[in-house]
Amino acid sequence: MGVTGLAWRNAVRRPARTAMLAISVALAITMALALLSLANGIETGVRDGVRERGADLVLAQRNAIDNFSGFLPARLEERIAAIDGVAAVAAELAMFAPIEGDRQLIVVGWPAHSAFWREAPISQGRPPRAGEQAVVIGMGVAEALGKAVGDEIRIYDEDLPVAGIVAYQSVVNRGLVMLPLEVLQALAFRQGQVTVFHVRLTPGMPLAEADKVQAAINAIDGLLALPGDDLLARDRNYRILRGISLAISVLALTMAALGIINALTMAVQERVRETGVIMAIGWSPGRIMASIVAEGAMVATLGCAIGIPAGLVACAAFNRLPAVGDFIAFTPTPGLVALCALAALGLAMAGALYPAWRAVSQPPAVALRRA
Amino acid sequence: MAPGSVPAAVQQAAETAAEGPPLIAVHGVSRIYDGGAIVALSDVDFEIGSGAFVAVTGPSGSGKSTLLHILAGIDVPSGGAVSWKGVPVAPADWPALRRTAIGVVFQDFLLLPSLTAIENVEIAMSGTGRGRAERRARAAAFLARVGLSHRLRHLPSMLSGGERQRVAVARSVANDPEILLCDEPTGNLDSASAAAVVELLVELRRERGMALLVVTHDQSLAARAERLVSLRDGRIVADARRTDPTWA
Repeated sequence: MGVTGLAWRNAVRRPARTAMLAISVALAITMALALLSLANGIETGVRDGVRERGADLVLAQRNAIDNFSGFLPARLEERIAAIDGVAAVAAELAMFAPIEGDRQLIVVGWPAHSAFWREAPISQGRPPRAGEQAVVIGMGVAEALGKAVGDEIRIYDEDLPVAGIVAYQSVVNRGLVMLPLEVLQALAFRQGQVTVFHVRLTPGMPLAEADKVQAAINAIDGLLALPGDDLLARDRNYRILRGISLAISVLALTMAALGIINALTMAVQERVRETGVIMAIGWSPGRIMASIVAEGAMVATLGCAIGIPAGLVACAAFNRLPAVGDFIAFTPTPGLVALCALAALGLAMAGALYPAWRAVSQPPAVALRRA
Repeated sequence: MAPGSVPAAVQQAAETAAEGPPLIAVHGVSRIYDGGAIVALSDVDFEIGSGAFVAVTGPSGSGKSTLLHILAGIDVPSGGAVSWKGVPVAPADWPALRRTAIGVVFQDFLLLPSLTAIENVEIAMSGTGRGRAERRARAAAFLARVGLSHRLRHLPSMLSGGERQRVAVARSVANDPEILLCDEPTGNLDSASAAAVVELLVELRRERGMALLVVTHDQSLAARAERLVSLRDGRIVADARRTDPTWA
């Protein structure tokens, strides 16, 4: 019967309270893991979407606060294409737009000559012709809206026919609605404008050369070239989402830690006399504190054992919901699991320090006098 | 050895063995509560030699238990000092002293209710450097010594008062203390259990050569001591040894 043995015995002597406490920790971990997985899913989704369409660099307005609010003249495409080392440029107007009245989906407009049209893995139908008032939709959109080739889809206030369905694999691309650039510009009153250019570099280009191309692009007034993987790094909306996810996760875990502090403080109050006995038989304050902190860690570990599988199940369940999984992915990683588990354990152990300190802060004789 | 099996003369000789050099001493110790409204001890000087058997008596509220608590380091004196083998004891030294050299027995047993008898004894050896198997074996041996080898796995709630006190005694001697401090060890026991505990304490003291200090109202226990200290109103009013002509 040592430090951990006593901690275990104290944890199981009130099984209902320990179980409720562990469940509250588990719920916090589930919530934290799901939220952080959502933020991670958005980041990896955008990265995968850019990679799937084969861009090396994405060019946006230099000081735009997010990826949808930049304004670039479409005519810059020729100037960019003329830079040595640029193999191809694809202009894109991208925005969230009202679809079927009550939904907001990402709608993109591509010029007729864009490589994106040629390379899109269209599984049904065809791409729209230049200037045609028609759309191509991702599989996720087709499944979520129940649309097939020939159906009409309402964008802004226009009903446009579905010309084709594209079988992109990445979650972001599966949720796209694509139409000719000039059609979208007209619908959104953004004539002559795009939000980004996707650039492919000459295949096999050395890294130093690629840096030179990037520098040449950045020399153009108002343009900022970023590797596709870094696209979200400057996006205010994503940073807000990530910040909110992190804040809610920390709050949830802190609330769970407060629950542990509360429960352990009560337990320590109930066991004041026993603590006095343990001190009277020679346990040092450090060992007694270690036992109480270990008790908190045991509860948190039990919470992790429940909360982590529950969080993974929740992520998988959200991903299977058509209304959610067709557009965003909850992407847990081993790193996020470890982060949530370590945060829960760390907060629980830090929280247990206070009741532990209280337990040993009075002489044993005072503790022994307590009823 | 069963209680009462030692010839009386031999037993008496052992109990009156010469008191060795001081183990623990208090110098000018006082203890006040409520800002001085209650004076539990007042300027007490007192020492116990190795192997001594001292009974501390006095009316309720005379400061007996307070003195024992200060000798055990589980209460902090308001004034004065406590020394162990001539060296002043710092507050941080007390846990190690109680773990290795000072055993304590309380009137109301103070066993941990969620631990079995053997675990209650074993827990006193935690942190002493003994391995788990050794702790478990020693705990079982001490419980056998106090006649409870058939109660190892019982929780305190399943034991009688006398059995609980014997578990507490086994716990108090588990680390081979040099002195055993007992606060009214028979105060909550029926007469038969009290007599058994008295014999047990006397035998353990003789077997292990440790000093024994008992705070007690029990005249049969006090009569077995070789030194009788009386307290009244927080002061020592009498300190007699069996060898003194005044011993009555």
